[in-house]
Amino acid sequence: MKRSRLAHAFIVSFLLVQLLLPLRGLLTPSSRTGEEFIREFSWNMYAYSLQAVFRYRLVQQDGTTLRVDVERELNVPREFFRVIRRDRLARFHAYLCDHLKQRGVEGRLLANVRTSPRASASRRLVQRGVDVCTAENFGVAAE
Amino acid sequence: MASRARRWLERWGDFWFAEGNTLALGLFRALFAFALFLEVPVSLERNRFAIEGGFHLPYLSWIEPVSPGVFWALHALQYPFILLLGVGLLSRLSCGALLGLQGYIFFSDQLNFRNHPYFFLLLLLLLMISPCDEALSLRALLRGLRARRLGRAIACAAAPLTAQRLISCRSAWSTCTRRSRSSTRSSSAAGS
Repeated sequence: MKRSRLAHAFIVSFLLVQLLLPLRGLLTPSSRTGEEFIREFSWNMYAYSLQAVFRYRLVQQDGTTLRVDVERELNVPREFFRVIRRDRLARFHAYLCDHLKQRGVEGRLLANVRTSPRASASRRLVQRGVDVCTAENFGVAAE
Repeated sequence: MASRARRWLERWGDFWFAEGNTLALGLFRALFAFALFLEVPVSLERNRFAIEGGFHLPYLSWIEPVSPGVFWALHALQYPFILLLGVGLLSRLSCGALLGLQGYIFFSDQLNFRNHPYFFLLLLLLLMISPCDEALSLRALLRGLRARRLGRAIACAAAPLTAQRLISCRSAWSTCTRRSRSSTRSSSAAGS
């Protein structure tokens, strides 16, 4: 690499990106839902504890309740825990609702999604008792 | 103040563009190629869900899930470029091609994210702009043979150490930001 303005610009850009991306995880308060543990591009290479409840059930018009095994039905990969984030859950719910609609399954889809990092008190990510397919932001609760 | 800034800029330039022997970089290139070779079947297995339907979360909305044939091809095509990189021939082209192939797989789904494929992408970028095939390479061998045939002296390869220094800085920073905890990851996702 020859000494040039372009080379200097590349070096500075590269270092800035590599410095700034991991800082997001380091600066996030540990009281958050555990989302800070799954920050990508931050070199978070560690084992951590994240208890997650990720349950969905469909309440049909006749009152019967069906369990929706999302992992098996949607072939969600083993890294499904990466979906359990407020900025991604809404998209997952949109997909889930569309998938059920295409299968002709009707009813109210209720979700129980909670996380508790490092065995702390669990925090709910989805509003309780709402149909996620019709709720605002697909039922994902604001922080 | 201005002279201090100028001195600082000179030191900055001297650090990043200092010249040195490229032997270590050549060795790194060869070993890295071996690591890439080992990673291909791992990627084929771990990213298989990307072609099996289901929920996808691409980094860019226009990146579509690929068909099984294309998915297999994206992995199989890496081998010849890994070989070229390992022996140190057409290294820049090989790094660029591998960057494209692995980059597409990596960025096709956010659920794909793992740290070391990201690390490999960064290394490929840095090796692509570096003189990594100046030493311990087929290219260096061919150059040496040509020089001998023409009766010229074979010069030791010396080049700016920019790429090596960037790799060192990046590795040091990731070591600093890495967290280590003793507990294990667990989750309960049973339907009820």
